[in-house]
Amino acid sequence: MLGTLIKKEILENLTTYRFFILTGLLFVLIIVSIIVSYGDYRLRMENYNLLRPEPNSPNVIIPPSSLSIFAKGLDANMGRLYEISHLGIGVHRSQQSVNRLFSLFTVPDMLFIIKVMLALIAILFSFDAITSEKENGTLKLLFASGSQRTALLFGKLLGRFALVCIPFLLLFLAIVIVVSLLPDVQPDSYYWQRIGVILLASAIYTFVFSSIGLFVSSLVHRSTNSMMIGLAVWVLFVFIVPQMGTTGAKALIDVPPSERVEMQGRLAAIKAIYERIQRERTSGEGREGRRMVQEIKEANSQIFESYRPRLNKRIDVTKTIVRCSPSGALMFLVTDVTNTGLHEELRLKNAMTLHLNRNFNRIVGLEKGSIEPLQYRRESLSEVVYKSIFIDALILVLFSFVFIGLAMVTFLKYDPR
Amino acid sequence: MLSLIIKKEIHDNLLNLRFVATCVVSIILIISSIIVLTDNYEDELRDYRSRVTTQDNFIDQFGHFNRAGWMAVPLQEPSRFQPLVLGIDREAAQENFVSNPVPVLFSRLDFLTIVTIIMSLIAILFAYNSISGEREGGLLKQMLSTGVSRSTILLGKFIGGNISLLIPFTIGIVSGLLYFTVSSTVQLHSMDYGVFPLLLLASYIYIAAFYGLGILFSTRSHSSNMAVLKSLFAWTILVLVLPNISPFLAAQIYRIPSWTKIQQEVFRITSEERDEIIRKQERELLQTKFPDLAATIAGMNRNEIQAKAQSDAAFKQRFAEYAKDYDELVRDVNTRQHEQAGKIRAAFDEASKYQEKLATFFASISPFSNLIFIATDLTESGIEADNRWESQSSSFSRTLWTYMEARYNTEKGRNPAFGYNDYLDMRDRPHFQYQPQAIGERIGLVLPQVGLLVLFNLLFFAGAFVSFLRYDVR
Repeated sequence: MLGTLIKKEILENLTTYRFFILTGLLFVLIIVSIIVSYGDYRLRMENYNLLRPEPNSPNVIIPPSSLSIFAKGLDANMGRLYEISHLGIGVHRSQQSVNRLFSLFTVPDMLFIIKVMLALIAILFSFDAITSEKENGTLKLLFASGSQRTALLFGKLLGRFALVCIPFLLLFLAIVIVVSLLPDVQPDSYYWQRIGVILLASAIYTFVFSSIGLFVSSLVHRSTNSMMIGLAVWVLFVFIVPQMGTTGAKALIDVPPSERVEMQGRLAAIKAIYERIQRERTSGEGREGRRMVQEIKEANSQIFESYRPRLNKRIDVTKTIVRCSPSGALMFLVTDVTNTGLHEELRLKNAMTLHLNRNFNRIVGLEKGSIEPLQYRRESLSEVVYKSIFIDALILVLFSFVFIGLAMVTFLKYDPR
Repeated sequence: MLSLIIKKEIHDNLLNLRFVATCVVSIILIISSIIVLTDNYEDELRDYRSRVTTQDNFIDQFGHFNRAGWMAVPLQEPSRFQPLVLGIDREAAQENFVSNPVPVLFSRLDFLTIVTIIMSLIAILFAYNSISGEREGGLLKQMLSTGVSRSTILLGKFIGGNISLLIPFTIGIVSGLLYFTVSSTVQLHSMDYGVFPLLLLASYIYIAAFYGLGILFSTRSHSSNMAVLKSLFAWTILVLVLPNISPFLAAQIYRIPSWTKIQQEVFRITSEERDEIIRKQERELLQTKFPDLAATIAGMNRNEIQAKAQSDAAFKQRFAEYAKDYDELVRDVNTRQHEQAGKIRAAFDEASKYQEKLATFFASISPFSNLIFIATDLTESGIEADNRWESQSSSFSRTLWTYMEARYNTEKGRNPAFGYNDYLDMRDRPHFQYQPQAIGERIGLVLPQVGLLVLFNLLFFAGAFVSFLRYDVR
């Protein structure tokens, strides 16, 4: 019976105008997104090749991740040139920040398509799963034919889910294969494993929104109302909750702005240099340099050590609030899988700080010897799964259980007349 | 008859679930976002004032010529309109190693986001079945059979629908603005009050454009399901796709050199290369013009030179001549090197501004982008304000440099051995004060975008009108 119901749902909707429009929209968006994202990736790769430091330079730049074509995340920021010196770690603005329109608009990468459009399409496919049958009078016929409510609900859910997910997965796989053949993309086994995880996460995410659509459809008796509520939930989860997360965390956790931290570091360095010069006038040349660099180093460490834990706390609170939305959980999951997320960014900054500490005496000339280059490796998939994406995957699964459960409860009491 | 249709439309919408949703969204969301962002703004303003004081006190205590530019960095005050329109987010620019990365992934929810995304979607949901829904219900043919013209029906629906949509929106925004204006920390200039009605008007035109879009697709469809799909398709393209791809398209069509490479080159010209040239010319100066002094001061440190200048009048005079020539040499070299660097920077700025203009042109195809530009320009939180701030801060840096040179020369005149790293009392220095753009200029700036929004309204309405004239009401 379940198989028949799933087949019915798929066949009924496969030749509709809705299916063609929405699948067409998805196709156009994916193509445009990949063209734009790949072009952006090539520009970042060119920038990286241009700025690679000389041997024995303490400066660091890491190549862009090829998976950032699918989820750009923080990759543009991580791929900047970091200038390591006795003054600390300086960072140039990213190439993108030169064109200020980038800061007014969002990156239209694959993650954006999945997070925003796939969720919308899932809602638009499932919002009338129950209500349209009721409005057409076929719902009571289905019950009269002996279909059980649970089977009917799951048949509709799986059928509508398949209608959205299968075309998307096929399109995405085709695109991934095309991208893997492009220059500057090196698809190894890790690449395909991560793509697999993204596909799985997208499928679960689509399932969540299909469940939401079905739940809303089993809550009301008219398709127009169901669509209103479905879209309202989509707006809430995709736009409002994630953005409120940033605002809310800022209000809850007090962290000094980064401009203040930068100013403190800058003024501490100037003070140390100035005082060194004054001391050398009385004590003689050359002896005060070591003391100066130590003072700068200690000042920067103190500033950083008081600031960083508070910033980390704010980031944690932001993540907690944003994870109240499946869209937020997906964002963290996919950016962590592609090594372009908050976790990787923090890892890189910690690696830079260790690199500075290890080479400090050689950078400032207090020790002879060449500067150890930073051998930075992005985190492996197993490490990322264990440390961060497991929670986000669990949240997505939990959301789907919650909304399926709610749909079941409401549908069991649904009046088909 | 028109007024009757308008009244009917308002009445139908008031009894609808979507009106309730609009009220909830408009009133709760707008007010809460303004309240939270006003609190954020108060914190940022407090921190900004504290940083200004800290920097000023530091310069008063440790000021010296050599690093004065590094000390006296013009600080940017948070925009007074930040509780309404965040605009170019400084945090998302990630200019420091310690910047919070979260704003790059998630921007904050402000009034502008609510209008551009949520209200435009609500407008679509109000309008998509205004014609097709009435056709499905059989009401449309009844209306036409009473002798009402199609244009009257369409205009009545457009006006009535917009009124019912804009009433809750206006209540929400006016309440939020009241909170914002009475907040003790927000200190608005008199011309700032002129921004609110303009922002409100632009928002109305924007929302009406999407209402018109919804009506257009309603007249192009015979069922409400098709109408909503087409409308959402168009909404997705205009709000989520076109604006977001425009900067990327511009970056790929018109390439500019690496910003970091330019910075490195400028730094090399104005420091390493400059220092090398100064050292070489200093050696030449000593060898050719002051060979006697070269022999005397070789191996002496600053204190020894100062002591000799105080005890030997002839040496003091000779050293003063050398110091004067040396300062002129340094000034010349600095000027030449800075000119060279300035040319490189100017060429890069021109190229990057062209790319920005190109991206703006692409983005203007969407009403979404036009409202973003209008709102950010009116509230001085956009590209134009950023240019203005950069220009004023560069001008201030030059003014400060002139002041410091004059102070340095005064001290040098008193004491020839006075150096770049000696304490320089700069307590009477000029302070940076940003001058906001006059409201008239801001209005002039946004007029093209307002015109485009009105054009979108006319286009969508005209399209709906033409479609409705041939619409089969059976």
